[in-house]
Amino acid sequence: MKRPLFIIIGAVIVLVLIGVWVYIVFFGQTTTNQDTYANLGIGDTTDPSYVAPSENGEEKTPVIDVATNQRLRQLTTRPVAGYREVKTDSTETVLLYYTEKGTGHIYSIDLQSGEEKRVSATTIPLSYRSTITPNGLFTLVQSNNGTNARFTLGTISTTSDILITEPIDEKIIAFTSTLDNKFLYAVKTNNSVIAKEFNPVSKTIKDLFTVPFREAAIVWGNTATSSHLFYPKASAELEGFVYQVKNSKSTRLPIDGYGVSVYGTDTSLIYSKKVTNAYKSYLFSTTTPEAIESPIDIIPEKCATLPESVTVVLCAGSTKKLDGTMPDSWYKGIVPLVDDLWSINTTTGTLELLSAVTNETGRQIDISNLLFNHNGSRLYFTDSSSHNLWLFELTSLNNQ
Amino acid sequence: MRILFSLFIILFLLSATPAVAQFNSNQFTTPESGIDLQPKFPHPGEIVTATINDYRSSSFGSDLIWVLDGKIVPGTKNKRTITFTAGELGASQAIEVVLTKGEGQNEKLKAVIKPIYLDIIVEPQTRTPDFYIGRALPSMGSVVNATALISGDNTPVSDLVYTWRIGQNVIEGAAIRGQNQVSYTTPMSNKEILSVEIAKIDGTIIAKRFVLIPSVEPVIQFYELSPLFGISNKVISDSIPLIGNSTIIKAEPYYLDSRVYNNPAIIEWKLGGIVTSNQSKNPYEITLERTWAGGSTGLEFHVRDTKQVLQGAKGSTRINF
Repeated sequence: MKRPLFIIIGAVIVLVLIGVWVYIVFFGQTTTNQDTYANLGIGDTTDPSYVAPSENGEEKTPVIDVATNQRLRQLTTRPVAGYREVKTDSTETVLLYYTEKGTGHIYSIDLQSGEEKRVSATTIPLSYRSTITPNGLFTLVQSNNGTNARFTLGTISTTSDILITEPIDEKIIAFTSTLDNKFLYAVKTNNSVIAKEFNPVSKTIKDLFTVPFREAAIVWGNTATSSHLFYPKASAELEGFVYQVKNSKSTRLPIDGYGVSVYGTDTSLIYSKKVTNAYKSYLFSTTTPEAIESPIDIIPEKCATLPESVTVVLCAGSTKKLDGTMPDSWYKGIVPLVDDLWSINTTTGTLELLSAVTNETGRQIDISNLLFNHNGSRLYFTDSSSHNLWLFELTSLNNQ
Repeated sequence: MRILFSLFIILFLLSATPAVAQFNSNQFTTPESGIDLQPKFPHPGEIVTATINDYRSSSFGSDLIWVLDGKIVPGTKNKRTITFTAGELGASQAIEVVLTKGEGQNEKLKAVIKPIYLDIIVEPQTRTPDFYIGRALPSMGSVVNATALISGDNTPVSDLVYTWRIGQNVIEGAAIRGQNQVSYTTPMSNKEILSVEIAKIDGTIIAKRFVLIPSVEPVIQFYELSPLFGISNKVISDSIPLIGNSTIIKAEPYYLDSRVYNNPAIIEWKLGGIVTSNQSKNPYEITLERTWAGGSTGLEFHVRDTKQVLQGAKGSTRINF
């Protein structure tokens, strides 16, 4: 390259730089003083995008869509450990309380206004599962799992966002809250499981019944005096048997089979089991001698009963046939299911599609943890993948 | 003296009872008669088949009438086999067959059933994660606890004698009073018969049951673990995309003997085929950090016992960066 060419290029660069400098000096405008820091890429630091919550943790804008009259709505984007529609003494408004998975923070959602408020800011790390009493005053939280599982009784304050906590030093394997604001839980012993009733006000514990083996699944009744069901945890490769407890007396029901699991009330039940390499569901009523085959095959853990009804069970499922690996493959998370909501009459076997969930939401939801409100007008459930909470309003359905 | 002694010996021998007297000669000449039931110990509502077992010459040509709880069973005249439905739990039923001989003489054969449930609840002591709400399965060498539960008979457990068998072997060597729970080690076969026979103290057998118990191989499944939310309940099937800077993967060896799970002889993770030193406190968890390079790498996990080498499992998945 020739020397003059270098000189010309150099001169052009110098002129451009002089031009930029002149522009900045004479035409540049001041901006707000904003500090800039180098990003050293050292991983997670304090999140600069954090927005401090408003007073009392209240978010002014509705978090759920209340403008539209959708009967099926997603209520949370947070994963949920447990929930319950509550009615406190202080207000006539019916609120939904839920516990956030991981933190144990408790939030309330006003279903009329759609506003969400943090009721408890007390962190219970690794919160995994919880239940809340219908009066909204107490919660029982499981944090962590397996041998590291810890259980905490929480008293929810009406005046502050501090949860008064108290550890429960028992090996709890299952728990729930009752309609009369108590807790039922089951603990493992060396060769049995003991079901107990716990009054969170008086802190008294009463033994309800004993399961004479350890690997038990329990279907709790609405209160301690209701009937409860228990059975050996289901496996497609092992035989199971269903027992009902009434007034502390256990009775063997004529329900057994490989992979059997059950859901139901005092008089009507839905159960499923493996039958010649297929997974089949049956409806059983104590008033009729024989079980009838269910029109669809569902996993009973995906069912809930209407509080006032003895014959109608609402279940999540599909018309797709399930194979003989069920329910193990669903329990393991190997086979996710795509569910709709169905109403099944356990006496007549009548089936009604309540919601084609995938069509209605555009989402494929593997529904679990179904729970009705006190009068059966609202059904809550979670998506087992995201653990987000959903609401299905049955009154909207009735109005249509 | 010698004569006296010989006489004494002869008298002693003559006083001995002949061995043949211990047999009932009628057993050879007269066949045993009765009603055979199948199943012998039915459940409530179960279909029971009753068959007359009578091949005596004296009953040849007799009319047969079947009577259930005092009522003639219609359509069963002169049938040697009938079926009927077992009644309610714990309620005794009498099934009779009336033999009317040519001379008008009647003879009754009778059997009594008491429908009960005898459930064998099998509880394998193998590993499943806490979120898994199903029952574990036995694997070779693992301990299985079994419980026999009777419904429909009010005899206390302490007054019953249990004979447990796994295959042909009697567990604990003999029948044991009051032992409705036993433990045994899973033998080396895909399926094994576990049976229990329950008798009252007087020796009357009140129930008998057997179940086929599978023995499976332990299997590894991988799950993503969140430090905040805990273990995901959705399995990582073929691969997992590493979206953030890091992720924690947990290997769950389903059906591994709990003793091996808690104290494994071999436990190793391989990343891209190379054994990695796992810094995690829990050896079943591994933390993977993103490198600048993109692509995909294999993740393998191996856990095994060295004494019982079939107690172990290997599993693999892929991590996409």
